[in-house]
Amino acid sequence: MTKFFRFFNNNAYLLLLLYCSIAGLLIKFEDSYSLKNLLSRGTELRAFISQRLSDINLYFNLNEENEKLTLQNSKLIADVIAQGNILRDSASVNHTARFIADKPISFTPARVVERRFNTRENVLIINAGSKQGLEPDMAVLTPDGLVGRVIQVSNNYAKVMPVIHSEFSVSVVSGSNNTHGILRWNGEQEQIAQIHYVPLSSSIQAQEAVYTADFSTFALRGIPVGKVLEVVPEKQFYRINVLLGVNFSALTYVLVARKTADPEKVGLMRDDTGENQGIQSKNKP
Amino acid sequence: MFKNTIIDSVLLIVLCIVQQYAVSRLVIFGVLPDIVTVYIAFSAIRYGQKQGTTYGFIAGLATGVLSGNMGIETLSKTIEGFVAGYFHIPETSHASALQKKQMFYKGVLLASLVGRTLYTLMINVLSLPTTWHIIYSIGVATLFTMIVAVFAYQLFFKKILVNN
Repeated sequence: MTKFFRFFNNNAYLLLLLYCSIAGLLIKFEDSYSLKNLLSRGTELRAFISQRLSDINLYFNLNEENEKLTLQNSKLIADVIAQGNILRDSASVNHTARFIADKPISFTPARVVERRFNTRENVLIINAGSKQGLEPDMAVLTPDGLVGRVIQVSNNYAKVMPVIHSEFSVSVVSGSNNTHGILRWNGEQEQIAQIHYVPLSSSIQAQEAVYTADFSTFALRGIPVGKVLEVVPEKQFYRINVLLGVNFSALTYVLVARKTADPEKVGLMRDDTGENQGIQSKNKP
Repeated sequence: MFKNTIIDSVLLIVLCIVQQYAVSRLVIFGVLPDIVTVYIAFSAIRYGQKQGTTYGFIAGLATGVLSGNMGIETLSKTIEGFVAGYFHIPETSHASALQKKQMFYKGVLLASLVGRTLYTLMINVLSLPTTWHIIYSIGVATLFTMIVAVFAYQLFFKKILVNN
């Protein structure tokens, strides 16, 4: 065998002949099972190497891929936000439009452009001001209920003191029993305000609707405020918790009631009624 | 000598893998350069016709297993090694650096032309569209292989061949 190879190895032509014969046999038996088996293993090897190379390539391109995905994600998020805004705005506008159509009083629609919420001194800014006919002491509301009152007006914006402000108070009346009281917010839970000065003799009950009363110096009569959540008797008066109708965390569009209370009545009430006692000029109920 | 043969064989197989996975991605005008041919020609020129033929055979087998055309690859690469062996520069040669360079380029050129022609004709002669297409694919592929040969010579082979 060694002699055979040495014989071939000594002559380049014979070596060529040997290799070409082998190559010829490989071509001839290309379709044979053993050769196909060998080639399929080769294909497997090739696929394996390709896979590894592709993995390495992928690894080095991960950064770029991540950047692309982040960019794509941000575009999708922007789309979702924009579409969500459109949906919410249209729902809010439709809701508000229906409410305006039902009421004979003139309203100025506005959008909440800024809100400053801290523990007790919450303030809203709306995008309507003196140019749109707004004045201080106008009531701000949504179809869900009373939002607050205008306390300061510039040309195009107005500052609103919401119901959930520690200095805010408003005269309210219960829907079924006509029980009067003064609504204030104690600075604790955002959705819950309290009705004060309701005597133990009154028959107010839980789940009763609460509206603004005619005694208010700024709010129109009959604006929904919320509903009675809890009635707790105390020494002289009831402690009444009211679930506010307006969700302040999701407030977008509001209406400003153009009609303010009669100044003559306001003057008289400031002088005489207990509703205003201890309350500064900016938080007249 | 034996150690050199092992190193060269391993290098040859590595080059076959590189040709299959890296160089095959550099298709320009439908053809690609062949670095395996350059190395077979270099081996044949350095060690002689018999070694060149053997290296061609080994490279052909390796390329064939990876590409799936075992017989054709083996045949064309074996013949490439054999023809490049005609330009063998013996160790005792007094040829100048220029002459050695010319021998190398001639060896690569002839090996590439013969190898590409054989391969193109045998791969599936009936499916080839025109004679012009055959000449184009052989000519451009050989041109690309020669460009690779120039770089390979300047970077690696010059030092080895001239110092011999």
